[in-house]
Order: sequence, then C-alpha cells, then structure tokens
Amino acid sequence: MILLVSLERIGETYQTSTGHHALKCKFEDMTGHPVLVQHYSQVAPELVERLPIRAIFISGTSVPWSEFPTEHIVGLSEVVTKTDIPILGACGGHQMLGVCFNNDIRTVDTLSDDWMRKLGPGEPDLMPDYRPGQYSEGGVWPVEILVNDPVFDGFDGTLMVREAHAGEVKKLPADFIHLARNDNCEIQAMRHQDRPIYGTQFHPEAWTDHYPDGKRFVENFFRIAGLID
Amino acid sequence: MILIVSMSKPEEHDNTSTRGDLKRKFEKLTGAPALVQHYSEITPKLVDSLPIRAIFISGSGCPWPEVDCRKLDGLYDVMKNTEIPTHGACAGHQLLGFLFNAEDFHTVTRLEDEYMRRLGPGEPVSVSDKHPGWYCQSGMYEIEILRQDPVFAGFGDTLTVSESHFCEVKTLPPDFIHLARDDNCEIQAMKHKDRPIYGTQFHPEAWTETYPDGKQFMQNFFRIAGLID
Repeated sequence: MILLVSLERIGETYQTSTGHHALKCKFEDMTGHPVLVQHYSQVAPELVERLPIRAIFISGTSVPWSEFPTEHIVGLSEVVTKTDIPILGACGGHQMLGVCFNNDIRTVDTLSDDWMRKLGPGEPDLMPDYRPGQYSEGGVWPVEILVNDPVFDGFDGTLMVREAHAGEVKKLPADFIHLARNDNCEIQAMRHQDRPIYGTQFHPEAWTDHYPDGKRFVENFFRIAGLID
Repeated sequence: MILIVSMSKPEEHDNTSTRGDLKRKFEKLTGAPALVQHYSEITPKLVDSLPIRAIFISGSGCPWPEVDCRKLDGLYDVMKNTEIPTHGACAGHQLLGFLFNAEDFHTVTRLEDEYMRRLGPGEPVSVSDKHPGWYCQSGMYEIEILRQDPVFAGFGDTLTVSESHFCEVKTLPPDFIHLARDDNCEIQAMKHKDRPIYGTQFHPEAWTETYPDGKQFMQNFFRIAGLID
C-alpha cells in the first residue's frame, strides 16, 4: 500500500479534489498497489504503524505556508523524521520535508513562505493569480543532476520536468544531500543521507506523453520502495 | 481501516469526486482511514493484505446490464467467505442480492435491472432523465423495521432514510434474513444469517441534519465492526 498525503485544505481539495483521486489511480496503475489518500492532519505514527505502507508520497499544495496550522503537522513530522519507509515529497511536499527536518515543529507557531525571488522591474508575471509579484517557475524545465542516485536511473545529466512554484527550500536540512538544481532554484532535489527520503521541487508525477522523464523518476522511486520490479 | 468499494462506471472512477465526500464522512465518523477502490480492483489477495475492519459497497448510477460480470469475480470471491462486516447500500445492496442469489457467480454472464414497478397513468415523475416509465423512490422515506438487530439500535419500529432507486432485490438470497420494508419496496434491508453482511436499499450514508437516522444506522454498523465504541 502507498500512502498519499494531501497538503491541501481539509474540506476543500482533500475531500473533493479530482486531482488527488486521479493521482491515486495513476500510482495504482503504475504499481498495482492500492493508494490510501489521507490529509496531512490525519497522519501520525499510529496510522503508519497500523497499515502495511511501503511508500509515502507527499503532494504539493496551494496553501501559503503562513496559513498552515503547525499543530496539525506534528504527526506527519514525527513520521517523516523517524520512519524507514521510502518517502517522496514533491513541490509543497518537498518544502514540507524542509520544514520538518529544519525545525522542531512542536516549537514553531507559524511558518513563513520562502520565495525564490521578487520579480524584477518590467519582468512578466506568468502566474499572476498564484503569488503576485513573486517569481514563479512554471512549465517544463531542465534540471541538472548533481549527484548520481538510483532515483535518477536512466538519466544522463539532466531531466525535463514540470515546475509550478514560487517558494523553495532555502536551506538544505542537516543529513540531506543536494541532488539536483537549476538556475531558477538551487535545491531542485534532495535526499536523506541514510534513508530513502526524497524531496523534489519539481512535480515528477505530472509527466506528459511529450515529457515523460517524470514518469521514469516516479518509477525509479517506486522501484527503490520495492513496489516495481 | 475501512474499504469503500466504488460501484461507479470503470471509465468514471478515475475522475469521480463524490467518493471523497463519503470517505471523509466515514473517516470523521470513525477516526479510521478509508481506502476507496473500484469494484474491479477487489480481490481476496487485496483484502487479505490490508487490516480492513469494515467494507462499504457504494451505490451506482450504472445500469446493471452494462456491468461486466467478470470484473465482479474478485469481489464475489471476497464476499463468499469474508468475516469482515460489510454493508452494501442501494446498488451495493442489489449487488449482494446478485452475488448471494447466484449458485456460482463465476458462471453468470449478464445482470438485469430489476425495476420496482411501472409508473401508473398520470403518476408524477421524480427523476426524468433515467429509466423513463419506471417508478423511482426518491427522497426521505420512513422504513418499517421487521426484526430487531444491533444495526437498528436506538430506533423504535421505524427509521427515516434517503432513498434513490428504480430497482430492488426481488428475491431474498438463501441464508439472508429480511430486516426491513416499506410499501414501495419489500426488501429495504437484509442481513446474512451467520455473518455481519448487511444490505440496505436505502442510503443511510446520505443522512442530513433534519433526517439524522442514517447517521445512527452507520454508527451502529461501524460499532458492529468495532470501529466505534
């Protein structure tokens, strides 16, 4: 079983999103294993211990970090900082790994958004409804691999993947390895040095027929988790 | 963990958002996570591999003759032997009728819509776009309890619940007990005589604040399953 952690607002996207359900079906088709969707506030060590979870995927989010109730992240934080289960956090999920590994979340009242950079004078705002005034990396971009890793099997130096973000992880957490970068965002990918915990600022799960690299990346992750031969 | 078996059309399952509401509702009611799987994905192997404490089989808008019976074989194999408390509502109830009325469901090649009755001359139509000419029981109806059972704990002789159906179970399956009726539909509720397998033609899961009996019914079911104290 795969656990898909939603970082959206409960009652809105978690409940009604066709996106999470479509992603669930995508991972089920890819691996043949069932996918349980849970809101981040529902995730706690007891949940993970009770269920035969073989991999955890943490979704992106449209919620600004300043609006996250930190008391609802405590359970998820305990899971990701202690578990041996392979984890992949994408976009907001990647930033969530940064939040959990760079802080003791129980002592943090509010989180702040770490933007890549402000737009320059006259620079077009490509996502004016998302984070106005901030630079947003949107579209399919090349990402440069810095350190080889099983998750990059089959790639040669770069991969072309979906980006949709204005925030980023500014500080590599202790015990993490910097895996990939591009000129827009330094920490495009990272992993824990001892455990199979991956964060990607890009959205490998949003591959298309024309840009299939993300699919290979996700397959590599599920292979690491033992869910694909 | 609760398993919600979705009876939606296979091609609609990937895009459905309605199951998210049901999943969230059950998670709030019980505190247990709910896994949504399409009926074609259910096998004894899947069910055995997960700590499932209750199974809910949903309703469906799909005409029965369009269902590929072979995609129900896995669910049939589960239902034949399982001791896991199961509740089928509306189409889920009708499906229990098909599975338990068949001598060997693996040899069944086609399911029929078993309509309640034809509309009389001048009789008003509540749902006009499906099954023209047939009576549809739609709305909140009072149902008569024929036999006391833990699933009716807290009710007197009746409960008022949501109905939304054209078809019904015409023949009580062998080994089933007739639990409830109304004047529109004789088999409003039934139960396996040895195992906690319930079918309800009504939709207890569609309770409202004004008509909360369905909530009590669902709580009773999940109490039988040991998910609520």
